[in-house]
Amino acid sequence: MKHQHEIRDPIHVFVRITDEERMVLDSAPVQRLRHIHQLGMTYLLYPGATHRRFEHSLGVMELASRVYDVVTARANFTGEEEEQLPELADQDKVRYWRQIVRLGALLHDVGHLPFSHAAERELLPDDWDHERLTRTVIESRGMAGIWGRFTPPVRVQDLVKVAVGQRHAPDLDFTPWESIASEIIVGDAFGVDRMDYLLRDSLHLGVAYGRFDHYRLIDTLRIIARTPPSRGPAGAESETVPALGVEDGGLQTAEALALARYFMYSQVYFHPVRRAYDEHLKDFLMEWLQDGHFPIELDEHLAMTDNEVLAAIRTEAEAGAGAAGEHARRIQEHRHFKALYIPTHAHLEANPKALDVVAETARLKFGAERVRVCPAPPRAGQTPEFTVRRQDGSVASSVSLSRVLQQIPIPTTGCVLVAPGQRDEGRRWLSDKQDAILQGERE
Amino acid sequence: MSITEEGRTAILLDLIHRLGVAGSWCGETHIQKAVYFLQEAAGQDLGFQYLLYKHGPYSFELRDELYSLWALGQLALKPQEPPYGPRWEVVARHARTGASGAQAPAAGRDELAAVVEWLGDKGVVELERLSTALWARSEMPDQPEPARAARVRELKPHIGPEEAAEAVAAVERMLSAARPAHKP
Repeated sequence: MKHQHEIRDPIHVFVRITDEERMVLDSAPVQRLRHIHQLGMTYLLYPGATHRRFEHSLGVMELASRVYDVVTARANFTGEEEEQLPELADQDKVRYWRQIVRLGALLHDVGHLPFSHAAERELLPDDWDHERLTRTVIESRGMAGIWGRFTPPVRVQDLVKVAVGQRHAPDLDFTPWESIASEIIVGDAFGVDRMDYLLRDSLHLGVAYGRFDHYRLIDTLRIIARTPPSRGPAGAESETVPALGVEDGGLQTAEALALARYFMYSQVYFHPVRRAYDEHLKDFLMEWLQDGHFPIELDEHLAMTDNEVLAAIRTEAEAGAGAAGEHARRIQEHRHFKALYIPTHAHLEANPKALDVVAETARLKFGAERVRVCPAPPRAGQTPEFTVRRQDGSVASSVSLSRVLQQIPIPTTGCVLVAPGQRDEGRRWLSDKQDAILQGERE
Repeated sequence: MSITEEGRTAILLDLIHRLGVAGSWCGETHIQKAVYFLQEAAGQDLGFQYLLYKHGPYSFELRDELYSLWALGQLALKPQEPPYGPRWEVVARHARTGASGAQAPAAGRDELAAVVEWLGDKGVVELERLSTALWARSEMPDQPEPARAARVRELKPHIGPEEAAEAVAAVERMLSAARPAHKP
């Protein structure tokens, strides 16, 4: 008889796992996540943000199961979905893929670098990112023994697909069913990775605006398939393949999710001090790591956690000479760079390069070593479009039904940072010169 | 030489504007496929990575770029009556101009015009067939048309044999009409 293990969780109360899943939970790659901070060094400005990728991964597994159970429940799909996704009618397949989705969720972050560092382009060799490391872990010989002990055995390629998604596995062909399985975890609109981190980060940071009614949202999620309308305007575009969507009654909670995401990005994830610590940590790591890169060999990846980096920062801060010591002391002594310029939407509409223009001029004024530019990551927003099934059975685009989703801006908040000694002078200077700088006039 | 960010934005905005003028629905699928043809068939490399997705070739990077331009106020997402998806439109002051007011580079305008002519009046179902046929051509450039049509059906089993063959032939006709310098 299978034994259920119960793990307490501050968001989901209990996360339940089987004996087989316990083998994965106890594996070195998943246990390593106990030592990777979910939000990097954000705890230096939000002291409660000490949570780790480990509990987030458990949370994602729990939410992925709930979503999967809702969307595969017989009452929640129609003959049209069943016709396009025959897997829905095959209970063996439904059970197998439930296991895959749970494991993919548990494993989706095992490739993360220490401090969940976003600067992968600089800190990993060319063509590597944390998703590729995740795939390397899942496909490793060390994990192969575990996959064979599941009943039925787990196909590694299925796990890779759901754990990293199609964007990060372009060499693999995804069936519509596999696309939906991966959407449950990493999808832009309703991926449970995002749901869990908004809820969990919000709790640990002590901010309320990352919360939304995820119970209601999950309860209204559906796989929605539809055939193209037989008559319509020439070339008219409407979704024709199955995708995760929502019932009419869940539209407002979907709006709340989009708003939560907007607030968390604009107020927490893009907070200039948080980004300053990211920069200082990156500077330190590029000096401290051999060749300036994290290792991609599996054993070395698994051996490198926040603990090793924190110990090195402390050692270098106390005794280190040169650049590594200086960067470490900035972190250790909280002498982080300060915000000099955060463009408004009006600035960016007038000049999309406003951030770069100000940064370049500030570098000329104060010296390149005293100025940093933190651009807004390109994927800061959430795709506002998804399918909604209305009460009369018809379907519509969310953008057609929700003025809220039409209006929620994508956070575009990059910033220019300046060394603490230049902050006051810099702000006076920018106050005087800003209009001229944005219009392209050099001093 | 790789294209600059400003040049890429200028071409993208110009393409969307021209598609709209040509009567295209200009939903995301239309733009995705038009940029794919621009890159693969017309030789104008904008640097977007494509993979085979639900409706054929698709670039997540292009989708991110569209929403970035939306966030910057350069593109608008116009809702349509259900069940249709929204259209993308260039915000008036950016029409036929790039992010910094520069027009799309002159060297790329013939390619834009060709792609708009090829695809401007096509529906999403046809776009999926044509772009998948072009994908198959890129995978197996030395293979005859029947082999490519078979590959199209392998990639998208819901496309019928006659439709696949016609899509492969249509792509060949498009490429034959392209300027010799830009034939892939």
